[in-house]
Amino acid sequence: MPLLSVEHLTTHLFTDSGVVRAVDGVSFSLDRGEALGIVGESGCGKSMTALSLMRLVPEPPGRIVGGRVLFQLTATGGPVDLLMLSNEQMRKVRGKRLAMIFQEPMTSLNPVFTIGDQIAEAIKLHEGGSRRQVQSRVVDMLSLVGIPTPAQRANDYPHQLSGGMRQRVMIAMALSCRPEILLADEPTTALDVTIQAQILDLLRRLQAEFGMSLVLVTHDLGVVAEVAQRVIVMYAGKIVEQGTVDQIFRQPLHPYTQGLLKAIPPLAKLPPGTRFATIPGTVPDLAHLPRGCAFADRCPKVRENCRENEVPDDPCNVGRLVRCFYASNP
Amino acid sequence: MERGSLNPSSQKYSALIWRQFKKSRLAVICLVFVAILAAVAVAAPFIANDRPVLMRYNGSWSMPVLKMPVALRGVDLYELMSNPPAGTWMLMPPIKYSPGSYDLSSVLAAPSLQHPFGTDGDGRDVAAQLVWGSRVSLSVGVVAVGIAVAIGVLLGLIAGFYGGWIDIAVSRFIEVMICFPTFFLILAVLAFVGPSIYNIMIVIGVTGWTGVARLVRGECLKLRRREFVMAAAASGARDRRVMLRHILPNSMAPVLVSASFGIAGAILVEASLSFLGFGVPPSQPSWGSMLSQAQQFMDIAWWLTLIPGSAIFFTITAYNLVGEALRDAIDPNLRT
Amino acid sequence: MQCGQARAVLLCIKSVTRDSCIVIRKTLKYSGDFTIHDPRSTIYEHMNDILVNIEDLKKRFPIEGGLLGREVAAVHAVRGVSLSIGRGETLGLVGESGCGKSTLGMLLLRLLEPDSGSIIFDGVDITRMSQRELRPLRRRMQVVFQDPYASLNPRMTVGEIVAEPLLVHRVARREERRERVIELIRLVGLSEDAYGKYPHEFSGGQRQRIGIARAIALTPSIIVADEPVSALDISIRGEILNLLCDLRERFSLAYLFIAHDLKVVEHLSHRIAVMYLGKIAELFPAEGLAAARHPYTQALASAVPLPDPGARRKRMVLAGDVPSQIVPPAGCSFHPRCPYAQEICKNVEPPLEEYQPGFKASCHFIAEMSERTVSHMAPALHDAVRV
Repeated sequence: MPLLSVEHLTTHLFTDSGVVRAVDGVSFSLDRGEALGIVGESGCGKSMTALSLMRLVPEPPGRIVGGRVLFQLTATGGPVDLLMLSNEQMRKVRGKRLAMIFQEPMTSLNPVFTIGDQIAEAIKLHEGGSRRQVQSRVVDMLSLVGIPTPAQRANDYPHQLSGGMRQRVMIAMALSCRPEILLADEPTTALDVTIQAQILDLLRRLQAEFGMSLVLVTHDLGVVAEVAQRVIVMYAGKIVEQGTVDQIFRQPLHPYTQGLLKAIPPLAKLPPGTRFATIPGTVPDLAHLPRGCAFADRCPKVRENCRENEVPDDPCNVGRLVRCFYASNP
Repeated sequence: MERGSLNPSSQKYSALIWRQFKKSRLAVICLVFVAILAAVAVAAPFIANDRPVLMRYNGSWSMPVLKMPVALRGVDLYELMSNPPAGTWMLMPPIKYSPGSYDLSSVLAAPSLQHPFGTDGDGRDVAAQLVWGSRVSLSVGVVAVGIAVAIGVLLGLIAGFYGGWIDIAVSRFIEVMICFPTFFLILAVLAFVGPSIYNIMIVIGVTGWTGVARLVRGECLKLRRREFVMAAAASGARDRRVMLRHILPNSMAPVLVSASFGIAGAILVEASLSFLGFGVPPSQPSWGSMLSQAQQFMDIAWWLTLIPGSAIFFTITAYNLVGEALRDAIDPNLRT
Repeated sequence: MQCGQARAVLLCIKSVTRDSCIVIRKTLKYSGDFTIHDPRSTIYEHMNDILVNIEDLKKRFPIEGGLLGREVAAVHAVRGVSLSIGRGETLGLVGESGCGKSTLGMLLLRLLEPDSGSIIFDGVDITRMSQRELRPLRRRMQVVFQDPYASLNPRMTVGEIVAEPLLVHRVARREERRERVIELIRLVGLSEDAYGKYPHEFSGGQRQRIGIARAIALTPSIIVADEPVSALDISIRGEILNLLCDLRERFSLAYLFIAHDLKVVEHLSHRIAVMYLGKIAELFPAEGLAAARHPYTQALASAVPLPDPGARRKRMVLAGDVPSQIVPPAGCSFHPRCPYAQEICKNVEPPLEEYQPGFKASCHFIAEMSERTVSHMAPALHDAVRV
């Protein structure tokens, strides 16, 4: 039984220009100890999906309008729908069972408290314990995420740390109560490549050590390839392709996934005159989505029925979710 | 990442602000009130006057409100109005009194059909005075704030754009200005130059620019580092062009907000000055002087204090609410 | 190739400015002397024709404190950089945040005042020129910024934005100007009706095109492109890079292409300079990334996450953070993070020296950074080519 299963999750943003279907019937599951990557470009709904799982959708304009998020809260009992919990119950799940880290580690930390205080706060909130115990947990967490001289660093304020160090602190805070699932929303986007490499290594190591499940939301396919075991590709609020990391990167079947992979320049000088591959056109307006496939306007394989019929999960019977009538190898 | 891809609706910035502004119904009501007030002030001679707006006399049309026609020279208009000869046609304004016309037969008359807001101790119509008084209040508000904004924008732009010792000089000057108790400064200056509506406008304007200057300076410091300003400099644009074309239009929205609050403040200052007798000369009706004259009849004629008092109250509230709604409208954090 | 240039000349004759004609004529001269098929290599081989030469450029930003605004410390953004960019050459400038790459670009354009050193632009020393004297030269150097949302004035229409450089330099009269602007808008791949619209009506990629149209309006000789695609979605990036390539061929543009992503820079550039803490760590031809030996270049290359799950390679993960720019480390600025650092690295600053033709590095042990140290990232490179 999966640890988390999401069924037809639907989150809308009610804006002046209309109802934006940010998350449009997303279903997936997550096993214990699994690393799942959610990739897509800006506006595809990947971050909103993560926020919906946490029930942290900014309201207004957003609102979760449908679906279920079933979480195996106890080993014996049945799964619990997180969307049905009271705010108080949800608050207890958040941080303790389900934690999240964000892209911008500076704004996620409170500038007027030391990082030690902030981690201690998270521990006290869910687990309690004496001052001494909490303090030693804080130091343990900081050393776990690779912060040198953790006992002294605990007294630092966020602005005294570099971007990479702040993200480590965020991870320490998120993991302080040993959650079963960590949602990481673009955790390395604001960081430099050499620091990104450190943080990705850290996430991988901690995930293995804690046996924790990881949901990694990112726009960078390279990051997903390095960390995830299973990948979800999103476009315009929907999952367009889902598969193991090998399936997605070696046999992508959806034209969008294929286009995205081609659009990443390789780390090598191409022969002169080579053009960069692109996906022509732009993401459609999510408030006024066309009928049929949302990718139709940019798709090289588009045919008449793509624009008319809603595309089911796996119309070509390839055995996994590939939302395309003409799924095939490139 | 691509921001705004969720919101590709096409609009000018001003339209965007307007759409946001409209969301507050109270603000729209206040804006309408302010607009009506402005219209009343401009059209005061046509609203409250003891002369006809339009008349036909001896076969020719004229507007005595604006200019006495030649045909009426030497004729007692008021006599004519009470006994119009045949062939004479007159259209009177809605309030048939001038603020200066005394009607000694009805002194301190309570509000009635004839005098909707009653009359004062000299038998003058309060409604007429209120209408004409709005001219003083609004023109003082608008002109004084105009002067303040002009000085503030200029100094703020220069200080923020050039920085260095210019910025230090302007900033210290602003701080010195803020240290003066403005109201007493105004009183002192008016004691020297004598109270006239123009002096009031200038004095309020010259003492009230500091807020705008600080605001514009801050905006300018922020915008100077923005990439479009750098791009303009990179294409060789002169400082004046960068300031006027790129920085100023982008810092106008907060200035507008502050101007709205400024008008409210200036109206209040003018009313206070008139109340204290340092305002416009008694021949010119103003809300402040109406209140001041009402003092002696406070216990017997409630309308004399209530009417101009609420006029001041509602006007200032309206300007403040408009300013507040404007401030919310330009705040991108509140935009949905 | 020949055909392409003939087209470029036609286009040039059609356009009114004189500068571009001169530039194109120069390019033509080269292709007459040499028959080389790639236009970019034509230009690259003639780098003795230097457009910009930067000599020991330095810039520090004072940090003021206290009541009197005394300088308490300074951020050393650029600490002595020497570089040259040839006519029509693209120099990629790569480094992590805070390495001073953007500051260097702004210094080159004289949008920031250098503290010391010199900038020679086309034979003219512009280091100490006043902004007034610089104004005519501004036609020949332009800039494209990273953030397509901050780089366009929200209160101006696209037509006004693109026309501004023409207006400032009094190029063309009103009707002509309008025609030029529309031509430019079309040239960058937007439709004509963009003319009267406002920037916020466009997506990020389209906005970046508008910024590029503004930059090429005066047919400059060099464009400083400061991370022009970093803020864009992956699927859009290629379009913008292709556009920059096209314009380079059309107008014989030189680029200083600033980026933090080696993948983006590598293909577009002729040469790549890697910066670290305000200095050039290594300078090499773009084809030679695999042969570049400076340990920082290697670390940077091996840190790039590749879209290949098989390539979960043993990579060279650098320990620690980029050191403070306020108190840069003594000796080699990379030594606190360098896996090969020796005693000498802590005290003596290595000079930027050529270690093989076309390759320069500042490392005491560059000769010992043999192919063996490079090799552990080589398989990953081959994988990347296969993808």
